[in-house]
Amino acid sequence: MSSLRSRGDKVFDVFNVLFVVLVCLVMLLPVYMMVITSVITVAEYNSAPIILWPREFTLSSYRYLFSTDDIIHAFGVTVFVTVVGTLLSMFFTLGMAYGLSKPFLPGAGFIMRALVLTMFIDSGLIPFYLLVKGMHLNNNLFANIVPSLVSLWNFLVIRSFFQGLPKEIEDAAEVDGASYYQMFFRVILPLSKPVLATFTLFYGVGYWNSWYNSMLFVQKAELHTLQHLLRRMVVNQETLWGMQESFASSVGGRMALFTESVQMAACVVAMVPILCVYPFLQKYFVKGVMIGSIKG
Amino acid sequence: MNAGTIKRNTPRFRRVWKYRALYVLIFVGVAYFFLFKYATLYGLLIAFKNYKFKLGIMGSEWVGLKNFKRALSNPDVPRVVLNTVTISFGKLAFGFPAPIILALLLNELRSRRFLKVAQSVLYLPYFISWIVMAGICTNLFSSTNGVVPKLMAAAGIKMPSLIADPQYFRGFLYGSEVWKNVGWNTIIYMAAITGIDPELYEAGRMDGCNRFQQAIHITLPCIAPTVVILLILNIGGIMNAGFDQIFNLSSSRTKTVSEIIDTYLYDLGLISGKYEYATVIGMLKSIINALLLFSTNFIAGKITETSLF
Repeated sequence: MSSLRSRGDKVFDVFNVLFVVLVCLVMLLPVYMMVITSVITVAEYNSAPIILWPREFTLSSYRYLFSTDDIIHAFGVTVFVTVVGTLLSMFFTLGMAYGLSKPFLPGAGFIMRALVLTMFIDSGLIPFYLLVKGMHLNNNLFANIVPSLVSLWNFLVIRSFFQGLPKEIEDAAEVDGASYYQMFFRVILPLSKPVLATFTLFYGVGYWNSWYNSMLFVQKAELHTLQHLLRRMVVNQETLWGMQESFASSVGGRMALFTESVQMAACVVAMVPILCVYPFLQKYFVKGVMIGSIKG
Repeated sequence: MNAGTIKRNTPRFRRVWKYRALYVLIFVGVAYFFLFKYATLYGLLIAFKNYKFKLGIMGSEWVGLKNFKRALSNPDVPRVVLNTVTISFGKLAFGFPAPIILALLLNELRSRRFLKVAQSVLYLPYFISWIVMAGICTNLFSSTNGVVPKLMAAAGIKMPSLIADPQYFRGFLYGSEVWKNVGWNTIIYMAAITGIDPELYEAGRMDGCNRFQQAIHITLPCIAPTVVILLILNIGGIMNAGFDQIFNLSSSRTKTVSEIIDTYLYDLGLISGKYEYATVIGMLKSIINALLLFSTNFIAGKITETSLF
């Protein structure tokens, strides 16, 4: 084939590759600069406009971050919310999708119409806020989970996946006298592993990055999620100064730390879990979008 | 007997009882939607009340349309609506064509391996929360310590502050939006391109089409339905200009150009405690939103001949 490529083709190929490399650099550099800023000394930070590879690495920003209770609490809270939230969301979304994938279930048609209609219904912030308050979820970690328990989109995609499974599988199980619970847990779920992986990830990342409900409903600082704490540090710039003072005194007033570095260290801490799982799970995310788009 | 073939004349109760396990499985999920989508409609009554937290929604005094009149005569409302629509269209203008162009270029890459690596890098920003984005943007563009202004200063160029100057802030919103989502949004176009019949390209080559002509005359028309559907659906979401992004990136200095309906409602309702006005404006926004969504879905359905659901 390559012998047939014209000169113009080759020139285009070179420029195309260069362009894509450039776009990739634009995507990576900000993240790279974030990491670098979190590990350099203040002297070096001030010495040049951009540090691509530091002469001296320091972990003092991380040491400082983890010397505060705030980030340890926030980490624990976020792990709890992510694990419990993802499990609950998956369980209820799957159960709902399985039950409503049966067209013969009395009432299923009505429920489906009511569910699709919710796409167009939004009562707005205040009724939502009052409802969650009324459920006594204030200062409760479940305030991060309950209001976003089931995603309509995830539900619709999983349901259409279940509907696409061959009927014969369940017929065979039914002959063996299996109940619907047994069919759901022993037959359907084991057949749905790629779907389970995909949507566990979508929910997991959603919970890991969640901050909005924490901000609305959780006042106690030690119960804030990691992103919520990060928001206070980066956007409101509030916690940092108080934290910095206490740390400065704890290391004998030696100010090796600087705000930007600590902020970036906190961003790295919030991103690392996603960066760690990302390479392994990327294909599942992409698969999720594909399934969704085919449905659309 | 097959689960699906229960006799038609079986009493309804018996049929329901037979499938009780399925009702147990769907119960919590359905209850969630009922509670958060339908029961919340009750809260809209606040729009017609002089709401007192102690008296509750029912106990508070009816005031008719007074809240509507006061909320709509508020000069902030036209401003935030205009901001919302402007920012939405701005995002559409930059954010919509970008992934299409990128997908077309990715499709022309000859090395599959390089494509995979590039895709891994391009999808990454999608998973970064807007809060981490706020940190990254400050690190890069802060006028005091940002990397880019410092570099520019070293080159002798004085750079305006992109994140704090109202004149540049909207452009900054569009740019950061494109940065975060462009890669991820190529997925759906790449899928559409993969689905194109290779024979079309074969025929194109026979007719002497070069690659540019193939991209314009074969690839683009073949993904046009996807493009149109996504454009229509995006227009359906025009009232949502991106709460998370603006809430975390904007500051008091940029408020005049970046305050959108959603951030305004947050301030009005939850910070100032003006529940009635926030409910009124939220309700009107939802009605417009629903009409937009409904008509755009309808048009999209007409175009594809298969409705979206």
